Amino acid sequence: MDYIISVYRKPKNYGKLENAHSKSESNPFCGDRIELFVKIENEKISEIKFTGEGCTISIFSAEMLSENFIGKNVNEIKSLSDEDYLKLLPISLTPTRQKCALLSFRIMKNILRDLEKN
Amino acid sequence: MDVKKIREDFPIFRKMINGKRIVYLDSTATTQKPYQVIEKIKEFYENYNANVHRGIYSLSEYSTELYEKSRENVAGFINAHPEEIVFVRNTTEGLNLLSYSFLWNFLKPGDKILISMMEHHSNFIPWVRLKHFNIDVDFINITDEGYLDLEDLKNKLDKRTKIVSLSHVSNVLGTINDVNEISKIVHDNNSIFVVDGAQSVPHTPVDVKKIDCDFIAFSGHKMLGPMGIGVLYGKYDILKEMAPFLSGGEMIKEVHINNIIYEDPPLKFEAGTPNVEGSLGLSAAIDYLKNIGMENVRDHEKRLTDYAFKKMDEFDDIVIYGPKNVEKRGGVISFNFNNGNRYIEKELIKNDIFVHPHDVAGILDSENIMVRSGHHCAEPLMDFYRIPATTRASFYIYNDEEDVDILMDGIKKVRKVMKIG
Repeated sequence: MDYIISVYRKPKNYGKLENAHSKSESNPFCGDRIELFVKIENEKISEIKFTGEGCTISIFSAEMLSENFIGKNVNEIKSLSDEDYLKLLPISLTPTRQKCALLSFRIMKNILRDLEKN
Repeated sequence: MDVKKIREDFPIFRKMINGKRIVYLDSTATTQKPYQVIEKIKEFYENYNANVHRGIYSLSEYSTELYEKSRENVAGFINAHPEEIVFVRNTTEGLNLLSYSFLWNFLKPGDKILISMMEHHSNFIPWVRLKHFNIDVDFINITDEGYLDLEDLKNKLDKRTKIVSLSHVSNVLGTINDVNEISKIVHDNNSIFVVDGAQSVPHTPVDVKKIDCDFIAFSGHKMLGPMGIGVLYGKYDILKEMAPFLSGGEMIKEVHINNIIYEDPPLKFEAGTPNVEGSLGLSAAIDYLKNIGMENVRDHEKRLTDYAFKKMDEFDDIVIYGPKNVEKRGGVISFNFNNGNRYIEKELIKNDIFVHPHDVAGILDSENIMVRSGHHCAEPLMDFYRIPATTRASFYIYNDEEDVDILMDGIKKVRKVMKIG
């Protein structure tokens, strides 16, 4: 818990990116809102930042997402399920709190889906 | 009021989690149920189950009688006539019934509806949706302390205003709106006055004649009754003129290919097989509350709120939303650490002192303290205070000072875990 809170208090990738793909979504259940900024080069994630408001779990998850996904291939991320993503987090969560954790992952997937459509 | 004895009537409070009792502080969302209510529902299915208003046989006649007796009991509880009591699923359905029916034969483009910034989504969305039909919806302001701005109400009332729909007690701020006074103001303008009674009827004496409201809606499950049964009271003369909401079985007198004659109220608004078990459970809940006395319920919650306020004063960084005067508020306490300032600024500047309500509720849950966190289905109100959410503790007849003390210990634990203060 101490580790989660220390990440929550000072997430390294908190901030905005210029000229990046971005999307903002909220969790209607609790009002958490995260905006994700993603840069992609040669089908690889080169940079991720986020801003927003949320509980420890949602902010912690956004930070973990950014740290884990930088350098990853886009297709690799697309193939991940919610369960796969939750396994990347070093905590076990109740179903309600899973929604907090999945917010940033859902935004990431939606950004990639939008890119595919265009 | 003997809270320990009351608690014995509630089977759920015998439940222990991790060897500790439950401290249930979320009665604003739904209340727990005494065995008198649970037994009544069981008794119905074991002895009297048959469809109502249909069968000629004795069981059906008896179940019909029970259902109508429940209606009489509900009517008596709020000083109405049984013909003015429409059984619905919950407050939400009651208010949707009104907006839908009014749209059918009462409202026209250009008409205006007034609601307020402190409404629950159930008294917000059914009206705001009508904008699609070019019906205007305007919002009465609230003061920073969480009172309805009556001057703003007067200013916004005009010839076009057909309906004013307001909560009696706010489910977030606890504010008790002066519905008697508002009723006069609204009626002076010849508008219809609708009251969302979801948080008042369970907690304080409500007399529809005294208020002189045209409608009031409330939910059974927030007043010791089962889920899935609620009430819409309406003045009979208005109900009679209104178009039905749902249609189908039970709500008709005659049906021919070219001619349908509807039942009189309240049956006109009760299409399909009704929730008979629910009505009986609600009736048993009302008996339970009447036995305690609604004045006593109100006094008890006032005392607990006052006690909680004094305890919470010890923490100088806790912000409580809504009126501070316990005479003018119900037993609902919404709070935050440091007013959620981090979110207002949208930056991390105050991240070291803010605690998200979700985390507060999560940590309290580890101590079996059950509170609500989130926007409480009142997002416009959250926007007004520029906060994303609050933590909310609410009281009922089975809570006591010890529960408040346990909550305070829980808050201390939150501070420790989250490293604030």
